[in-house]
This record gives sequence, C-alpha cells and structure tokens, in this order.
Amino acid sequence: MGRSWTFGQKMGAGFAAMVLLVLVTAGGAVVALRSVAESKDRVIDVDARNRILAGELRIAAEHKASALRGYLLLRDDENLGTFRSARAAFHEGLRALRAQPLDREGARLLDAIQQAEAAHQVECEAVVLSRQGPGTAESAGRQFQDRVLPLMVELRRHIESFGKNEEHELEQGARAATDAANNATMALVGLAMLALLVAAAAALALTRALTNQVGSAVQHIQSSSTELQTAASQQASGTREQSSAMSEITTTISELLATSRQIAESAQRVARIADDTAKAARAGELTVGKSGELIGAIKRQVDLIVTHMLDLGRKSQQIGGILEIVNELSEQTNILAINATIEAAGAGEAGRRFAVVADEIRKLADRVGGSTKEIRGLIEEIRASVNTTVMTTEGGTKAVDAGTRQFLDVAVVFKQIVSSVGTTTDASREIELSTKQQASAIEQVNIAIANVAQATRETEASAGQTLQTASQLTGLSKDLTRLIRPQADA
Amino acid sequence: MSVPGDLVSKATALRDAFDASFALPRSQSAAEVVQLLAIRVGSHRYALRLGDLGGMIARPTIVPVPASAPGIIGIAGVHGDIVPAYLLSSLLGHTDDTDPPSWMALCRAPDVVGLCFSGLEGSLRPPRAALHRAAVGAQATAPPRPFVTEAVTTDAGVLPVIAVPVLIATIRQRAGAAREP
Repeated sequence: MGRSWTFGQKMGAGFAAMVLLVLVTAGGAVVALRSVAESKDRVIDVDARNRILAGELRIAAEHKASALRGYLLLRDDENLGTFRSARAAFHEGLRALRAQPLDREGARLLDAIQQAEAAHQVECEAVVLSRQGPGTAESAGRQFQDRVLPLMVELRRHIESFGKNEEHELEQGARAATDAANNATMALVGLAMLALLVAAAAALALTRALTNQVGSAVQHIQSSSTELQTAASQQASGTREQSSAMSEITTTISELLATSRQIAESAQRVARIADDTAKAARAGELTVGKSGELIGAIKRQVDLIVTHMLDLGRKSQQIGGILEIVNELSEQTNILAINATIEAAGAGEAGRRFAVVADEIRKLADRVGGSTKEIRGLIEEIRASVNTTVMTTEGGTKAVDAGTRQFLDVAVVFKQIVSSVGTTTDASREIELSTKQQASAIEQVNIAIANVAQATRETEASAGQTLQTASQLTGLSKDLTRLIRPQADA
Repeated sequence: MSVPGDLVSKATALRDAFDASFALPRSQSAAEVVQLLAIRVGSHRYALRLGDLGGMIARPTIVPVPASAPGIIGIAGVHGDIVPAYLLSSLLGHTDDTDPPSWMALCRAPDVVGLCFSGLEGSLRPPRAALHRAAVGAQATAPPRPFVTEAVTTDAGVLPVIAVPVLIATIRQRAGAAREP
C-alpha cells in the first residue's frame, strides 16, 4: 500500500504523525499540569486556608479571653467591646471554615470547637455580669479562674486539635500534589519517550520508504538514461549511416536520371523498330495464309493415302483368310497322303508304287504348307507395314492438322503481333514521355533528397546532443543513487 | 507388279524337283527303307512304324466314357466304327503332356485302337540300316521304356520307335485284367 503513496503523501503523513505526537504530548502535558495545579490549588485554597482560619480562630479566642481579662481588671467598655468583637470575629472564622470543604474529622472538631466556645461564652457572660454587679475584681478573677479558664483550655485544645488536623490535611495535600506532579512528570517523560520512539520509527520507515521509492525511481532513471544513451548512440550511428545512404541515394538518383534519359532515347528507337516490325508482321501474315492453303492440300493427299492403306490392310486380311484355306487344304492333303501311305504299306508289295505316289503327294503338301507359312509371314509383314504406315500416316494427318491449327494460330499471332507492335509503338512513345516526366521528377527527388540529407545531418547533430544529455543524465542518476544509497557506491 | 527373284527361283526349284521325281529312277526298294511317322508326345519325340498303323485322324472327336482301363480317355467314331481312344503319353508314362490330343493313330489289330498324341511332325523314310535296337537301361536315370525296343537315327537325332504290337498287347492285357472281378 505504501508503494502507491506519492512522495508528498508520505512526507505529509510523516509530518502529520509528528504533529499528532506533539499534540498528544502537549495535551498530556496540559492535563498533567492542570492536575498538578488543581492539587496545589486544593492545598493552597483549602488546607492552607483552613490552617490559617484555624489560626485566626485561635487568635480570636485568645483576643476574646484577653479582652475578658482586661474587662475584669478594668471593667471598661473598650475591653468589653473588644470582647464582643473578638467573639464576632471568632464566629466569622467559624462561618468561613463552615464554608470550606472539610473532612469528617474536621467537621467533628469544628462542631466541638463551636460547642466549647458556646460553653465558654456562657461562662464569660456570667463572669461579665458578675463583674458588672457589685462584686469585686478578685471574685470575678476567681470566678474567671475557676469557671472560664478550664473552658478556655478546652476550647484551645479543640482548636489545637483542629489545627493539627488541618495541618495533617495540608501535609497530605502537599504530598498528594507532589505525587501528582511527579506522576505528571513521569507521564510526560514517558509520553515524550513514546513520541520520540514513534517519531524515530516513523522517520526510519519514511526514510526507508522514500529511499526505496526514490532509489527505485533513480534506478529507473539510470536505466532509462542508459537506454536513452544507447538509443542516442544507435540513432547517431543510424543517422550517420542514413547520411551515407543519402549520399549513395543522391549518386544513384543521378545515375537513374542519366538512365532515364537513355531510356527515353531507347524508347524512340523502339518506336521506330516497332514500325518496321509491324510491316514485317503483315508480310508474315500473308505468307502464313499461303502456307495454310498448301498444308490443306497436303492434308487431303494424306487422307487419300490413309484410305488406300486401309484398303490395302483389308485386302491383306482377305489374302490371309484365303491362305488359311490353302494351308488347311495342304494339311488335309498331307493327312490323306499319310493315310494313303499307310494304306499302301498295308497293301504290301502291290501298294509300293502307290506308296511312292502318296509320298510324293505328301511332300508336295509339305511344300505347300511351308509356302503357306512363308506367305503367312509375308502377309503378316505387309499387315504390320500397313498398320505402321496407317499409324504413321494418321500421325502425319494429326501433325498436318496440328500444323494447320498452328498456322491458324500463327496467323492469329501475326495479327496480334501487328496489333501488339502498334501498342508497343504507342507504349514506347508513352514510355518516352513518361521517362521525360520521370527525369523531371527524379530531379525534384534529388533536391528533396538533398534536403533530407541536410535534415539528416541536423538529426545527427541532435542525436549527438541527445547522447551528451543522456550521458549527463546517467551521471546525475548515479550521483543521486550515491546520495540516497551510499553503500551502493561501495 | 514384279515377283521377287528368290521366289521365282524357289518356284523353279520346286518345279524341277517335281519333274525330276518322274525322270529319276526309283532309288530305293521297300526292303531298303523303313517308313516311319515322327510324332511328339508332350516334350518327347517318338516314331511309329507306318506298317503298324491303319490310319491317321486329325483333331479327333473323343467322347469321354467311365472306364477303369489305364490310359483310356474315351471313344471316337471312325468310319462307322466305335474306337477306344488311349492317351499315348499316359501309356508311355509321361506326365508332362498337358496339351489336348490333336492326332489319333489307328492301330491294326484284331480290334482297332486309337492312340492319341499332341503333335505330328512328318513322315520319315530312313534306310533300314539306320534302325537299331534301343539302348535299354543305357542311362541309369532314364525311365524304363518297355514299349520301345528300337530307335532310328535321323538328321534331327535319335528317335525311339514305339513297338505298337507290344503296346496293343499290353492294352488288351490290362483291359482284360480290368474286366475280371
């Protein structure tokens, strides 16, 4: 998820975490200070004031007792007034203490003080009345000594107890305030340590994340700059090659221009030759027509030959059939001669002459058979020759037919040649015109190529600058890598 | 259209030979020559004495009949008679004659018998001196030929002469043995 954060987001998150920690620490400090202040305020506002009011009660009681002694001695109104005002001050102090927050022991002691003072006041009033009467100072003094003083001692003891109780409360409050201050201090120290640790961890994590992110980006920049450097080198090399190729193209186009002019001249010659060829083709067309007529006559003669040869073949077959009859007759004659010889042999001496004749007949039949075999061989040769002649003649007929068709094709071709030669003439003129236009276009192309060559040289210079910039970018990326990852340099 | 010279000379030679046959004296008597008929049985050549034969029939029509006699292949009608036809190759013990019989020789005997074979090569009139006894058992590997007792020497080689009477006698003997229960 951290990888998807941007650099600014991470920095903002880090600073936000630090501000949050500061706010938490400050809030904790405020809470601690407020707690300590409240503890101290309670010590000062409650316990110390109770202690002071207790002192004031003691002073008021002592003033009241002292004023009573003075009145008893002098029986004047001033002391009596002081006595009254001291008591009023005493009650004022009691009311002030009642208004203060007290614990149970303090409230009990304060009730005891109030009761003791009331008892003391009753006895004091009695002594005052006694003194205002006819009694003496001594009797008043003894009454004071016997009745008022013990109550005074009791009142002092209660006030003393109240004061000690409040002093104890004061000490406890001061100790509690000190403990609260110490706790607040410890809490603040702990919070500060925690904030320090969190800040250190956040700083470390942020540093690592940013280092990784920036390092990765720098590596990408370095890689890209290297690729850019390579591409710029290739571009520079390619541009040089392109510049060289442009020079070659310029040379080639110049040659092409010269060739186009030669083509235009050749096209003119081709047009003239095409005219001559058209004349020759028309003459050839006439010759082909005459040759076709001759070939037609030859074809008719060949057809007649084929007819005669087929007739000869049929006659040969008829001769073969007759020869078979002759052969059969000779065989039968031979058989009859053999049988005649056998009969003559059976006739003994009487048949000897007949046997000779029969033997001559048999020999004659054998000769006839041999002759028929020879004739059969000759007829077979004739039939084979006739077949060969017919096949050859038919082949000749086919060849004549093919020749006739080819002559027709040749005639058509000659017509096509005449037409094509006309087309060739037109095309040659168009080629001449087109070649001239092409030469003009090539000149324009040559100018354009020169412009392209100039642009290529400028591109080559730009590629050199790009290469230099890529090299500087590579150096900068390496420097940046060393800044964020010193160990990488090692 | 002219006739080739060789044919003309050949015709002249034939005419001269024919005319000479009447002019020349009879060279040899019947006692000096022997009349034979050269035949072919399968791939074997034999000779038959004309005196042993009663006639020759070309392309005989043979009707097969059920018979147990060795070598008989059927019967044939000859001049109104019914003649038993025997296969000569079977009688001579040759098993390589697969061609159909084209000739049948009629033998003179008390009963006329037909001997069928595949080829007729022609007539022979060798001098009697050319006839000699056949060398029976001359070759240890040659099959026994009980019906061949003579042989004749010709320009084409030596031809064994079949003793037709012995052959007919053997046929009759076998036929008689076949008829006995």
